[in-house]
This record gives sequence, C-alpha cells and structure tokens, in this order.
Amino acid sequence: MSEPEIKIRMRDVTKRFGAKVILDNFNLDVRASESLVVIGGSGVGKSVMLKCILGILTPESGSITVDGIEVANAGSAEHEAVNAKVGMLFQGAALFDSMTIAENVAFSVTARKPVSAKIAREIALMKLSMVGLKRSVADLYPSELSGGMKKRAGLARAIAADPEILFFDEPTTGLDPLMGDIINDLIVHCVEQTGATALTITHDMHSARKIADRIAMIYQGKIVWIGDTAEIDSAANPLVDQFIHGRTDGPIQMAVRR
Amino acid sequence: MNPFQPIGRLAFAFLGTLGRIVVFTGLALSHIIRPPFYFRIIGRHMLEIGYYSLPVVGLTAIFAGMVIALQSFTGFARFNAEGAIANVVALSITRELAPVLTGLMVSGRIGAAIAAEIGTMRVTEQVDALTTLSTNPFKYLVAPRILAGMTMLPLLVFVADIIGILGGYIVGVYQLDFNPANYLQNTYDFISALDIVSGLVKASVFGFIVTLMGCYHGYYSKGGAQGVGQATTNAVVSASILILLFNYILTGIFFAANV
Repeated sequence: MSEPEIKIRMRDVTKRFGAKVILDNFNLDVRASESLVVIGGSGVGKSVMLKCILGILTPESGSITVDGIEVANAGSAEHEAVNAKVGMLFQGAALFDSMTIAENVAFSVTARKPVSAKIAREIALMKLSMVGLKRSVADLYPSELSGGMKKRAGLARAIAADPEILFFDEPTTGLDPLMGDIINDLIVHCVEQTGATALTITHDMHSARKIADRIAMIYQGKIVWIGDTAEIDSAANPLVDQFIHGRTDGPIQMAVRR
Repeated sequence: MNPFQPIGRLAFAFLGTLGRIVVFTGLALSHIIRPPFYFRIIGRHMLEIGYYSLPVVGLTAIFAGMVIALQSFTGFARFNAEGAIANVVALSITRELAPVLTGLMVSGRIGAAIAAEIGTMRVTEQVDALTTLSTNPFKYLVAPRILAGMTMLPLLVFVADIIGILGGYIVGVYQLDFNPANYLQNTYDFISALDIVSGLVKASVFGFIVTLMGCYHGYYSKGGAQGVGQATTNAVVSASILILLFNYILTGIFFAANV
C-alpha cells in the first residue's frame, strides 16, 4: 500500500512562553484531504500549534512544512504562499467589525485573487447561501448577528477562496448544542464539497466524532494518541480514556489555583 | 534581595520596549514605501484624521490665539511694547502653539481611537484573521494610518495657523482697539516662510508619532477590555510626551543657529 500524501508535517517543534514549554518536540502529520481533529484540554497548546503553522507564532526549534514549504522561521514570502492556500474559522469568528458580512466574505477573495468587487460580492453571496445565511444578512454588520450566525459567516469567509486547507479553531465553543450541531454539519459538508484538508482543534468530543476522519490527542505539548475516529473508544490510553469520558480522576491533572 | 535587581529589571523592560518600538517603526516604514498600497483605506483615514479633526483643532487654535493676544498685551503694556502683539501672536502660533496643540489634540482624538480599534482587533483575533487572509497587518492597518497622519497633520496645522492668527486679530481689534490694517500689516511683515515651514515639518513628525504610538500600543495590546483600555491610555500618554520631546529637538534644529 502506498504512503498517504502528507499535507502538513510538524517535526520536533518546540514553542515556549518564558519558562513554560507549550509544544515539546511536537510531531504531527496531516494527510491530504483528511479531516483531522486535535483534542485536548484548555491550555495544552492546541491553538499555539495552529498559530505556529500559520506563521502567527514562531517556534524556537523544529520543522513545519505545508505542501513541502518550510514555514517554521520562514520569511513573509513563504507564509504568504502557504496562507494563500488556507481558510480559517476562528473561535470567535473574528469577523472585521468595520465591514458588512458580504464585505468580510468578499475580502477573502479579493485579498488573494485579482477580481472585481462585483464578482467578489457574487462569490460572497453564493458562499453565504452555502452556509445557510439569507441574502438579507449580507449587508448587516457583525455586531448585528447572533453567535451562531457569526460562526456561519466566518465559515463562509474561510471557504470563500476555495482553499486547499481549512483550519477550525474550537468551532462549536460558545454555541448551544443545536447550533453546535448545525455548524458541525456545515463543516462536514464544506470539507466534503471543497475536498480540502481540514485540521480542527476542539475539546468538544461530540464535534470531534462528527467532523473527524482521524483524532489526535495533545497533552503536555505532545501528541499522546492518534488514530481513526472509530478507534478512540477502544484506545488503550488512560489519558484519552479520561478525557473522552470527562472524568476528574485519572492521569490528567488540571492546574487549579486555590 | 539584591537592591539592584529591580533597577536591572526596569532597565531591561525599558530596553525591551525601546527595541520593540524601533523594530515596529522599521517595519511600518518599510511597508509605507512598498506596494501594494491600499488607497481607499488611506483616503478613509485621511478623512478621519484631517477633516473630522477640523472642529476641535479650529476651536483650540482660535482660543490659543485669543489668549496669547490678551496675555502679551498685559505683559507688553508694562514697557509700552503693545505694538509687538501681532508679531508675538503670529510667531508663537506658527512656530509652537499650532503644531503642538494640534498634535496633542489629535493624539487624544485619533491616537486613542487607533489604539482602541487595533487593540480590539488584536484581542478578538481580527489581526490574526488578516494574516490568514494573505494580508499583512502592517500594510493594511499600520501603514495607511501613519501615511494619513503624516500628511494630514501639516494641513490641520496650516488651518490652525490661520485660525489662531484670526483669534489674535479678533482680540486685538475688537477688544484692545488695534487698527485692523496695522495689525494685519504687522503680522504679514514679521512672519517668515521658515516660521510656517518649521511648524508644518513639526506637524508631520507629530502626525507620525501620534499614529505610530496608536498603532504600536494597539498592536501589542492583550488581556481583553482592560488591555485595550491600557493600550489607549499608553498611546495618548506616550504620544504626548514624545510630541513635547520632539518639539524641543526640532525647535533646536530649526532655530538654534539663528535665534
């Protein structure tokens, strides 16, 4: 059987904030066209991992390649080349306050392709309808939308330029279970339709099971388990077992200040 | 505890901040001169900084001119030098008061707004979102604001020069009974191109300082609403201090040779 094509490869990546080691010789492979979900508790380095891939944070050591392009400690040209292939849904949607929803989505297109404002708007309206937002929402500002609608708009912006890679940062956090499930379905639908490689970070197990082809668990700056979604319940790993069942007693010790 | 420890820590923190500001300034300048240029955004900020600051700058200038005329009258009357009031008003407005007061007023109005806007964008991940959308935040957020500040402040100061001198004229003519034609002739005869140009150059530098400090403190703000509030305060305080410092340095450069 041939080796699967690797879209994102992280090797021995170390990232510190002061004396605190967040990523500790971190290794991860994301295969092309798969949907990989990284789970883990709060503050274990999930967001830091994403930000290192995107070039928002620079790791102290190690290698990160996206489609073979080295991005760890790379220059702005490499980051721009990689970010041109990327779409990202942020935890709080991160829509630009000063733009309407349609302008937010169209920005994703015009920032990457030399298209007219009219065509960009048409693409934006099409992507908004893909995520179930009506035309009337297009000319509203982000402050006029509910949390779920913002997430949908953020998703529309992420897929607007038909990216090869999609990142989802805690896509269901702060949403009610019904809206969370709608977002999960939309993510699955968008990933299938675009054929993109998806990397999601979450601590919502329901979301992880629904979105993922494979799941990886991060703990103390390292991947401690990775496998197919169907295998997670039978993973012989006490860290995974404790996390997916949400037990307080076990090897995972949460730092609680009294 | 070693008594030198806190001093050393403070010195390192100061040097660290200074280094960050220097790097930030270098990056900002490099993005100002390199394409792509976001002309629409530059235009929007020019309108915000230039046009919408006119009322506050105008009011500041007219009252400054009026006060200078009144104060110099009380002082000069003691040695019968009332005739020099027009000259003093013109000189102090064009060389000092218009650029400094405009800089300080714009620092409060624009510097704070820039820090709050970019700071909010930072803590809500909108700055990170720009990066993922293949848009350099320096090019999109910082460079247009600095460019607008550097070009609009001189225009504001030019308007403040005219309004400030007008304020002195109103007090001189309608309150102190100067002859209007003499007052204007005195102003015109005494004022030189260097007085106006030095004020405009100062204004451009102050525009750079105000927008740079707003962008810098906003860009590095953290910790939610409190962090954004802190960034806003820091932007106004640091810009105000730097304006006063650079006012001294520039005055020295322009006028030290021919005082």
